[in-house]
Amino acid sequence: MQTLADDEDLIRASQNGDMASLEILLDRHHDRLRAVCAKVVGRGADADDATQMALIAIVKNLEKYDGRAKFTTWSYRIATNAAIDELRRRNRRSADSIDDEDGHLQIAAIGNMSEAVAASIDVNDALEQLAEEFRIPVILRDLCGMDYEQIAETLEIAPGTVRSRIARGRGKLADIIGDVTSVGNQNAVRGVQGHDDE
Amino acid sequence: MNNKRYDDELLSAIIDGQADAETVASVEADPVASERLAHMRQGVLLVAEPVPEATPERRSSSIAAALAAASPAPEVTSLAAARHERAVTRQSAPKRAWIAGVAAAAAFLIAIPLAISLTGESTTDTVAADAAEETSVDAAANSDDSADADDAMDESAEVAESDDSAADAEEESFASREEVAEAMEDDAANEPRAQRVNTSDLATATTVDGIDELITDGTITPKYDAAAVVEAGVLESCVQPRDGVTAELPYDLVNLDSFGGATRLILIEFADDATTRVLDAEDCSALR
Repeated sequence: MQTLADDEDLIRASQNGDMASLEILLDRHHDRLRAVCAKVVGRGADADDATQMALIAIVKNLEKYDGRAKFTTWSYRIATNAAIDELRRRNRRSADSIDDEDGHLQIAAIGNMSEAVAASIDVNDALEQLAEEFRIPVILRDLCGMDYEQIAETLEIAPGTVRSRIARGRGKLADIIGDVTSVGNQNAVRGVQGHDDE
Repeated sequence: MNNKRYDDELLSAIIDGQADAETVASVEADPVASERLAHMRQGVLLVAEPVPEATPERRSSSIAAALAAASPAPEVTSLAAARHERAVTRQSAPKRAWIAGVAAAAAFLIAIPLAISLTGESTTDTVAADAAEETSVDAAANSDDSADADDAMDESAEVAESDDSAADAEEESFASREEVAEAMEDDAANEPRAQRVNTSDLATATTVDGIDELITDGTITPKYDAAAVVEAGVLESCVQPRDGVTAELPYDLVNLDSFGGATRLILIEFADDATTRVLDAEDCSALR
């Protein structure tokens, strides 16, 4: 029976020039890293660009990886930086970064709140409304499941700052969700009134 | 919307399981706070939502690009190194001919007195005459100044040897000229391209996007788009160009590699013989 090599074995082999191991390592972590990139940059094509840059950065820096941090944490840090780079590049590049095609919140009709919220809020749009300093810690916490210490290490800020930024980021998202559900409720009420008028 | 009694930091701590049961209970008992907490939880769920997967092609190409970055790229040439090499070739080629001429003259000056001292004058004359006879035709054919073979026969061994050495030097010189010509040909092929993307242009690119602007205004323009490069399997250490940049101009692909420390301008040139060279221009880290 073939056993799957763990990350450490793959990293060691990759550091010794074993391309097959490197490929397995990259393949194994691609989706996880892309998820971070996608949440940070928001759009598919940019997410793929950022992911590719992250993978390249990982490969180029793998030699320096000493195992002190977990590979997932280390690679999240790289992916986050790649995504931030991509995001800044995009923001500088284009004034037309807000495309109307999918750049607005869709307001859902009333219903079960969690379903309505899930269906009505484009998470990318919602995240884009968060300043970068709040968005990144929230993503690292709620998507990547990193603890405050890891996030602090990744972003090179104090754990207390991480805690505060996550709270503010979540608060902002709660505001957005609150607004959407509130508008949804009002629309629903208007809809009911409309029916009554008929 | 913030509840004065229960701020977002406390609610966030509850989400992360860092609040005690009593606090949780009191928040849940407060309608405003509990609604706020519910919204925050919804936000957490949203963020944790899985993202649509990359297409298999895009996934593969990203991994392939990273693997390519790991492989040593034998074709990678530093433009700076190439320029230096060319400069050395230019300088050394004429110098080699000059050195060969001096060396030949020096050899002659040493060899003739040595021959005289070893063999005596008559023998020297014979040797010199033989040498002159052997070389005079070549000397006449090759030298405008000593066109007459008889004159050459009458000349001393010095002339014969000198012509012989000069011929060697000439041969050396021709070889050098060929090298120079070859180098010039290379320059002719490379220099205009290099000049089209000169560092003064790059100096205006104070950011990564500055490069994009240079691409946009036509100063530098890649020929192939990202997909073509990925398909060609030559991504090397560069990142993909921006979407939609496909017009033709000096280099086939231009982009910045902002990883691995320095920021470098990467110029990929697709040669006619189907080989690919990646030209790594001057370190552009100062441009950032």
